[in-house]
Amino acid sequence: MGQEGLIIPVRTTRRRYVFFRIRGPLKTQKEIVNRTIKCTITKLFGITGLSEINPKLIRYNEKQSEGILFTNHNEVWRLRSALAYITKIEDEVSAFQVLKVSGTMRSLGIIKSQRV
Amino acid sequence: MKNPIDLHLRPSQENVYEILSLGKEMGFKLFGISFKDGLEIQRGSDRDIVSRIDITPKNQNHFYNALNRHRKNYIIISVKCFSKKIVQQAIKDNRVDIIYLPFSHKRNNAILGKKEARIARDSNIAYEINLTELIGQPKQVQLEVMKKAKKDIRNAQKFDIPIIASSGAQEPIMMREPRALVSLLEALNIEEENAINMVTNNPSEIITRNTEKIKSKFYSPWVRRVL
Repeated sequence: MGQEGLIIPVRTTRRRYVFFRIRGPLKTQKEIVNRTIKCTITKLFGITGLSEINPKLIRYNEKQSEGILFTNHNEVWRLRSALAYITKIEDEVSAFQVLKVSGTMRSLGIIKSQRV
Repeated sequence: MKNPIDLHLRPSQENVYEILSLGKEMGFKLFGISFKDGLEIQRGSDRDIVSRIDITPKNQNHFYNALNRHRKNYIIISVKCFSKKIVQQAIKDNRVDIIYLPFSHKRNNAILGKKEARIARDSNIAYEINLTELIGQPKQVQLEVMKKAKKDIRNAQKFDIPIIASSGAQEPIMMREPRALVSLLEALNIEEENAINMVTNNPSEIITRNTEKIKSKFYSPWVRRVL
């Protein structure tokens, strides 16, 4: 019906925001957290896995040890398993706990409360 | 996920309440606490707890003595198998609920082979994976652990043995939320639906069955006292 020229913008990847907390004795810096996550993903799933999961540490609050990671919706389980796999950050015993996974930053409900 | 259960916690007297409150915060509804000598839990906080004992038999006599002593007192009896002989004894005895083969230690050929899996299915015994063993290992050990875990799980699934996934945490830092347990299982090539069952339905079925078992009217799986 003559609609060939009509282009509808479609978001190809469905995003997921993963809100997490680090349980451990020390306050860790953002770079170290980022490096630890990427190293663990590489250890578990290899470089191909890392490129597919492509995690991005969007925000991180060093005082509260809470942050938001961004990934593709198909890869949430892999990111979760990598986070569960972490037992140490810089030789200090620590653990990641995923508090919430959501499709938008707003629905995480933490931006408004200024936690991260 | 409906009513996730962590059926294997190994707390000490100092951290038992901390572990329980963290578990509740993570979303677990029920906890299997492995009672060691001297562990006591206050009344009132034991509503979400299932009593469990881990037997580590040295030989056949020790195994039977421990079973006779503990069956009526604990809802769940788990046998930690370090040798093939113990595996073969444990899978034949329907008083045992769970067998657990540690990945990280030398197991002296204690594996869940096809033959063992077939017998375990007939005795209605579940196979348990402790996920603390899968994480935080050095790279070389990790490879071995993953290999053993995948092999055991493949045999258990092939013969329809119920698999239970629990954290096996001794300290609060080793606890993981239910979804994290499922994701770790998915990393072992287990489908999501099966992985969820390992944290919810499978442990729940064992608890329901065994609560019946320790009642006084129970005699054997198909026989009950009526008088």
